[in-house]
Amino acid sequence: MLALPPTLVVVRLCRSPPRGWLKSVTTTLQTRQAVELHGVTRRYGTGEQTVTALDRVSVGFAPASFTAVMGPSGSGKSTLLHCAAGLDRVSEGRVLIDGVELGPLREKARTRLRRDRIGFVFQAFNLVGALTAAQNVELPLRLAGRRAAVGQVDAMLAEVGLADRAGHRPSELSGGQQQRVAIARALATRPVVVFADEPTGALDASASREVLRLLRVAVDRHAQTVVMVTHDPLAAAYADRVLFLADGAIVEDLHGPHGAEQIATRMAALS
Amino acid sequence: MSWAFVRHQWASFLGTFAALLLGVAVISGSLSLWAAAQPRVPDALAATDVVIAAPAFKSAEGGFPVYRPWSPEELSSLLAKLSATPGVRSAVPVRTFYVQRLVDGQPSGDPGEAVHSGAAWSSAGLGGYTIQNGNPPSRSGEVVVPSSAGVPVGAALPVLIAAGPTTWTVTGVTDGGGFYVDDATASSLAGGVRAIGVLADRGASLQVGELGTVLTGDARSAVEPEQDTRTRWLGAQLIIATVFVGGFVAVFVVSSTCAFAVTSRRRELGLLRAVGATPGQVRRLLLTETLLVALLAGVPGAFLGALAAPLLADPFVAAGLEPVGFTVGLSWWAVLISVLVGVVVAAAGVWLSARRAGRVPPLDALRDAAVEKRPMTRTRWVTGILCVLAGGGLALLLPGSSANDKPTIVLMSAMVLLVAATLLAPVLVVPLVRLVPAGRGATGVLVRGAASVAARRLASIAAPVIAAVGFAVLLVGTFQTASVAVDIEDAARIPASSVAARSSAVPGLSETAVRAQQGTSSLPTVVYLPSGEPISAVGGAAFAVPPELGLQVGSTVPLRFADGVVVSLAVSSISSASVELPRDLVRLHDPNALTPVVQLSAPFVASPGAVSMTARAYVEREADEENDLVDLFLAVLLGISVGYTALAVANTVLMATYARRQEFVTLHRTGATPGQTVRVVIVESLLAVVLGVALGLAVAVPALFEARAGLQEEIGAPVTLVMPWPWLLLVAGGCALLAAFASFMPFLRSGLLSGGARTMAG
Ligand SMILES: Nc1ncnc2c1ncn2[C@@H]1O[C@H](COP(=O)(O)OP(=O)(O)OP(=O)(O)O)[C@@H](O)[C@H]1O
Ligand SMILES: [Mg+2]
Repeated sequence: MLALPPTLVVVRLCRSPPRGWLKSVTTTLQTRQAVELHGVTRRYGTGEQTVTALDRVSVGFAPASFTAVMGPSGSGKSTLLHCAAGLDRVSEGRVLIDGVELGPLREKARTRLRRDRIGFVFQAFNLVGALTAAQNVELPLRLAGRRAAVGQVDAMLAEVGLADRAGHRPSELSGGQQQRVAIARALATRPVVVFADEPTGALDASASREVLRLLRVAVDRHAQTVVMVTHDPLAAAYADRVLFLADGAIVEDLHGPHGAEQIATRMAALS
Repeated sequence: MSWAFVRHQWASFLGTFAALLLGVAVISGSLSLWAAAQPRVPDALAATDVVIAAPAFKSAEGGFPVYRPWSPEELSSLLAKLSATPGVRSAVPVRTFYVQRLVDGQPSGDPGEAVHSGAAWSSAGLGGYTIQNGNPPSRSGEVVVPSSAGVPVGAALPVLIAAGPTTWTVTGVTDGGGFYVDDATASSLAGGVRAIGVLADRGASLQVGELGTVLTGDARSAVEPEQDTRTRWLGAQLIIATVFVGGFVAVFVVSSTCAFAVTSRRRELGLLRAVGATPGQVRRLLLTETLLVALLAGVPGAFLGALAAPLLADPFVAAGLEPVGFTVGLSWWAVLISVLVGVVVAAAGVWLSARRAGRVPPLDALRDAAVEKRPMTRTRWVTGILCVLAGGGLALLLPGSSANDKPTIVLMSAMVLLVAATLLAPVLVVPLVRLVPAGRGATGVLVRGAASVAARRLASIAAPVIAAVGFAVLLVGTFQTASVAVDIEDAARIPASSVAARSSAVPGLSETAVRAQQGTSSLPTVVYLPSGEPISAVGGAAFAVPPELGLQVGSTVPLRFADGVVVSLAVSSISSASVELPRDLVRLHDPNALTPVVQLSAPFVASPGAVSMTARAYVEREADEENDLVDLFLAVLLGISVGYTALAVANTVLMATYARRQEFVTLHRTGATPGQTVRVVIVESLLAVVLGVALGLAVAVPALFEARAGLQEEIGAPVTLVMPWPWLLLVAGGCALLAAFASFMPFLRSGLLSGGARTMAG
């Protein structure tokens, strides 16, 4: 057998290489980041009322890492998350998810990418009221035209401790339980990255702890990448890395686990 | 998954469900009636194998085909040819004439049926009738009667025929209907022959060439009495109008309900998009949901309509919309088709909303659902303006169109403009809301704030009001304006005298009744031009024709009379109105002709079937018969359009209030008393009603003027426009009450008024 140089192997595997494939292949090989932002700027409004919610942000999120994003209200945390997830379009700069650049993708391709490689947990209203917990968990798979394997949904629900609530509708679940179902759903497709925007914002301390523990377990046990926006230093303490945003720019990037007190001090210093 | 949505959010599908259920029921009922209202083979020809119909004339403008009578020579050669054809057992000309039994000197039975209830004995076999008792009639003055008449053989039977009252002797009783006399008498009493009934073996090949049409099986129904065809046509008009207006209103209501449902479900749709539903998937979800609802509503609706239709058979006959003997059975195809129509209506209604739903950005999952960014989308602008242009364009067609098409064009143009008004309504919300005084209390501020943010919501509530007001004003206004106009037209011709008119028990005055009076009358008949075209004529003095026939004084025209005889006549003058012929000539060739009215120049002389009245009373009576029908049409159309849209008003308001429960909870928590919250909602709904009334009027009033212009042109005299104020007040007030009540309802149920904010939030 003829040995091919590695680049050519990649070429042969990509039957119909997307535009700019070489660049993405190389960047993936170089950095191996799950999500990358390069010089991302997001402005809202036009003329006088323009708000620059993100100002030339460049950051990468490594696979199997748990990152917390913190910052004062209005600093652009949610915007960062939305842009990274392709929920919102960027004004300038590039976003890559799993090495695929979002910019050139049309709506349908973007949606597919979101469906297959991204999981979401919002602060509230995460679940479709018409569907049961199990159906909500299965939703992204269904939308992808797939069916969950036998027992898969039950296993996911069991993992978040809600095996006995599969047939309940969101209106019959507590806020914390709803968030746990949302986490199960976010993890159901084994996505490249899970984005969570203040997932514990509306929960009490013990429900918050449970949600954070689940996210932590996903990172440790399933090598899941998680990016979480939070106001709470206690929540941020579960992360491996804490990013501080102010006025749309990253002002601090703390690596390694930190105690809640340390994070709180940092935050106080920044705002 | 669609099913889960439908089941969970049945409240938001309730409106679509009810609209479709009703719409499909109306359509299925109408179709069942339609199916039953097809021409029937007359009983008197039920036993024939073949019917030969005389040559038919079809006018270019449509309408019923008219069969011209055969001339005596044509008839005898045709009969000879048919009788000689192998396999033909008998070929009998169908001769019918007017006869009505006199009971105690008074004409009895249905006057419409009486026109063709006399027949020749030789044709009794065509109905399969046989003599049960006694003998067939053999000479003039003898008659065979149906056993249902209850007259014994040998009894004297006083009857009224076109010539006048006479007395016949009953020689036999049959199992059929109608009065059978001997052939010679029948041919002298009947006008011409337009149908031949044939009893023949299977496979006999009948050739009639240019002289007629060979009809077999159900096609034989083509020779049913013209009167019945006309009655059916009236019924069909009502059915068509019902389906047309009902279908439009159904699409209108379903689409505005669907559009509204999308608006109030933005967050959920955004969530679906966020977790990976493509725009196509969201679109399909909405389509499937609505189609599911369409089936759920359509199947019971279709059965409801089809089962209710038989109950309408008798009222239809009583109203003169279907001939006697009309019955309605369960029609499977009506059920099937109306379910399909329901599905199509639903798909059409949801189509645009589904497309809009597909474009909901995923970020809307995170936004407050109640806030819409823009009142108008580009599609809405474009479609709205296109509708304005289309409606205006249709109105421009009016001056050049025929009098027949005008009402249809006015209605279509108004319908398109109603759609336009609905689409463009959000634009008007903001200026309208500015009119609300801010005041010192919170209500004004809240209403002004909410209404300018949620222009779409107000416009959704206004939509059915626009349609209700538009239809009510336009339909009632047009009908009332027209009936006033018709009265003017007739009044112009009424001389101030008394008349001898037909009583309502008879179709017309007999010759004897006319001759008993002193005065002037005209004898209506129909003659046929060489082309076969029928023209109405009256027996008066000399041959005069109106200018539109394009004939000169002195030119000769071969006219075919009712008995088929062709007479060449020279035009002696140009008349102003109708074709006039010498009266004696008409009587000679149309023994069956009846006189409607005699203008008296001397006191009235009593005669069977004649009554004395003033000319004005006569005109009013004739107009009333028509007006009753017009009132019925109006009642049905109004009932459907206004009833339907009222339902939509209630539904939209309910949905809107329900969708805002979260907002109300916030209001409640910020310290709004329940009364304040309810007041805000009611004021908002009333604003929407005001908007709807204004837009409905904006469409209906110009259309009313157009309708009047058409009428004026038609009768050539100024017509006063009747603005139906009472109806406008009724419909607007009704909508306002419904809207206010529906705004209030969800609060009662949720217990928000008693402080149960949590239930409302859940
Ligand atoms: N759709 C929008 N239109 C206009 N401005 C917006 C929009 N979304 C966000 N912004 C602005 O962008 C800035 C950043 O908003 P963002 O929601 O990202 O803040 P955040 O850090 O998430 O704040 P919080 O902690 O309060 O959630 C804010 O100034 C906000 O007003
Ligand atoms: Mg935020």
